[in-house]
Amino acid sequence: MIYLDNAATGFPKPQSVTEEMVRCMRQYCGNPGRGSHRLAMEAAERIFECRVSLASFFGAENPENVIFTPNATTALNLAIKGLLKDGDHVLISDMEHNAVLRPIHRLAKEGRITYDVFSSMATRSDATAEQICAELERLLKPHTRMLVCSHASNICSYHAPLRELGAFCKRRGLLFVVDAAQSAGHLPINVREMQIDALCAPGHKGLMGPQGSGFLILGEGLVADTLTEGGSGYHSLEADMPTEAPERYEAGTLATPAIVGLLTGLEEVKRLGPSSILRHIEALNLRLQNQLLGMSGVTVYTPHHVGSVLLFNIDGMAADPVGTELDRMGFCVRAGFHCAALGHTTLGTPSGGAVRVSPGIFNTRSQIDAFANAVEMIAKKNKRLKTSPI
Amino acid sequence: MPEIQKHYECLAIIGSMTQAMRAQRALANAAVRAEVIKVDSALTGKGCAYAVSYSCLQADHVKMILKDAGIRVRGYYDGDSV
Repeated sequence: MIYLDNAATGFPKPQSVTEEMVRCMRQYCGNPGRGSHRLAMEAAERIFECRVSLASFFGAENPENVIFTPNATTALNLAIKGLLKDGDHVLISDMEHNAVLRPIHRLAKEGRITYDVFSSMATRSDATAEQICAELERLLKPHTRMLVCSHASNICSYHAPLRELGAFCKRRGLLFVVDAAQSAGHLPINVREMQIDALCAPGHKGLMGPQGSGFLILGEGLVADTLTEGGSGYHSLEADMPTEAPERYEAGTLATPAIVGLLTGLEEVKRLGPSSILRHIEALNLRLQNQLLGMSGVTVYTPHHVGSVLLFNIDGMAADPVGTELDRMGFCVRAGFHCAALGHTTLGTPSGGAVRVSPGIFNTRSQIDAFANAVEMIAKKNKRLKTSPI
Repeated sequence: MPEIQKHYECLAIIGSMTQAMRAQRALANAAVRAEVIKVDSALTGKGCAYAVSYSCLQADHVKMILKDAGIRVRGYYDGDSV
């Protein structure tokens, strides 16, 4: 089996991640921030260490700005619903995942906010950050309050110019919310330098942690409404949630094994180096792209961007049967719409969606060559079926 | 004959576990040994809270370090008063 679905979740995990999670569950998995016995304290220390490590990695001011969530979707919901007020107008890009579109759409449907979709210009090879900002300028309204943007697309290798968008948001007084689901651990992100107010990411993709780990890094001084209320581990006689991050946003018991797994995964990312990881993945994708572009009957989307995700179709075939056939041949990829209807519309993929390939740090060139051969076999078989007389 | 100073434990009452750990780290960076402990509602009136305990001999130094680190301290406790 060759796993090429790292945009969905990273697999396999480094052995150190699994080992630390098991060690946690066997040796120190007390409830962090609840009580003061040695196991609770040891768990709390590891949780704090993870906050410190994430804050440092992403350039956040303080570890308390790191709020743990089960995934990036929850982090995005918290940032969007917690920071927006009734009457606000929001700008989102045309490459957004449903984790952005759906909470925004729901608030709009309830009549609480309005929103516009701006062009990321993902399909253009010559687009510049200035052109995107000019488009944003055109869509600004007096009550525009937030811009939400995926850093890297989950369906193609387009990524947004965060630094320029952050500067635009600051000039225009907008909150800048970034979905880093496909970029955290690969692409450089510094929340201070890029003027990001809310960075939302999963732990289980590029950061090599387990599923169940995710986080929001909230800008210094920002206070959002809570999504959930409950125990915070201190000031239990008060009916209100505390005002201080991160406990304000982390009602209930944290997923300690997942968080220590994320901490260990992050250590692995630091050890390997995000730029080395990106170079490896991009080299694999470029190798695959060059092979697919040379194949008759195969369409590659946005080949002018090279990154960590590649999207293609076999002409005349819906994506799902291609995915099923590849699975039968031993390859794990994802076919369909990838929870990204906006992005697929932007790229102009057909009604059957497309096939996404997302290699990871553990894949090799020979695996990519084997995958390309498999695609070619399916494409040829499809062509024969289409041209053979009945 | 030199006077022997008695060693007392003082407390800085912080609130959340995260802030208490941050306080402990700030103190450790300044070579002050401190421990995160849980204090009961009698000291806060709002329910339990986390605090850092340290030697009272370092009390002034601790206050300065925590202030410089931007840590909100809800009260200092020297055994007699909050």
